[in-house]
Amino acid sequence: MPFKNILGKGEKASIENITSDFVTLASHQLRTPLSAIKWNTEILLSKKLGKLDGKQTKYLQEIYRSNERAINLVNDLLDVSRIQEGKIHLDLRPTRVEDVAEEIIDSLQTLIKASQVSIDFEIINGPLPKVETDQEKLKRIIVNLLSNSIKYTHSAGKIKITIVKNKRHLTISVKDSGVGIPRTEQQKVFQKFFRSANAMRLSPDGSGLGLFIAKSLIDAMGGKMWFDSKQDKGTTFFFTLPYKL
Amino acid sequence: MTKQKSRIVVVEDEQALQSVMVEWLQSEGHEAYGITTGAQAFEKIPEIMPDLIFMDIILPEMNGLEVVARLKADPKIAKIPVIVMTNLALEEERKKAESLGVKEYLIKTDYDFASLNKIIKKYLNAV
Repeated sequence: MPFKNILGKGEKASIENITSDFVTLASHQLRTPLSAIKWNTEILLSKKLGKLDGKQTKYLQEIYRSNERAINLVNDLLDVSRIQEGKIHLDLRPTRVEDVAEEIIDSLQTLIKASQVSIDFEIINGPLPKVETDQEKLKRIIVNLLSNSIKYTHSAGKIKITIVKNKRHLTISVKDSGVGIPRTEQQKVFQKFFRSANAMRLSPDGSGLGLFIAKSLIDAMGGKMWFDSKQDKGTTFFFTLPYKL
Repeated sequence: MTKQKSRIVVVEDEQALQSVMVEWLQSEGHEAYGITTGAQAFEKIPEIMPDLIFMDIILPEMNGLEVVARLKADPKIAKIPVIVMTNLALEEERKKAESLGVKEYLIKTDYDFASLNKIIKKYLNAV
């Protein structure tokens, strides 16, 4: 029967038989209670089990939000560990980068509306060829850059996403009119756990790992990442993606 | 003619997760069944013949993927869409799941019930 080859020896499920990787085990153990808190809180907030007054809703939302922070931190730590061990696995597929960008803008609508920023999207030298890349990782990178821009830009601010077709690669940029990164902090931006003073002020929940992860992923995906920023004027993050790795 | 409720089975050994998932599915109008072990899955699933199965990977006495493989040996049960819900982010397990014909490999902490509703709709309608 085919499944005997797939599953290998032994039927015992104790997780140690599946992997001995400490970080995988630790993140699995951490995620179990975090998913329990997530779903049990969500069902209460849904009011399917009874009415809630304003205060009850408020404090349940606080539980849900704090839990999401913990979940994001576990995800980031798992990513950083894989990056540091050189275990980044790329699932390469022909991808329309412009579609991925549009999907992400769509999925962040709640955040965009709440922040009252405007998002512009432009393609230069189109039409764009498909790129052979890891779609999930590309999504994570764009989500990280775009949500940073939204967080650090005041309402009525402008954010622009541009994709440029070059000979052998695409250049994607996310430009905002936000608070910018002070010159004194710019060399540290891609360091693990680094948070600029502005970031701490505007988004106290961040892990400080997002850009380290994004840059590491882009490096693994054959591209480069860099940025331009001026205090109080705004920041533009750029990254490239070769058409073929 | 009354619309028949969809039957959904949740194979999950953590009670804190199993009971809330079953509660949610029932509140959404499905007939939901919670199963805690692989052995129970082999016994109950052919009886229930659900329209959709959620399968955890780490079960008390066996790997959920092995449960899937054995269930799929029965051609009638093989047609039932299976969604793996796990907190184990391992490429090897994901690939095994894919080769077994599992429809989705989802990390539990990435999904709230609202997003699961969309996924459930997709696979219940596809049948």
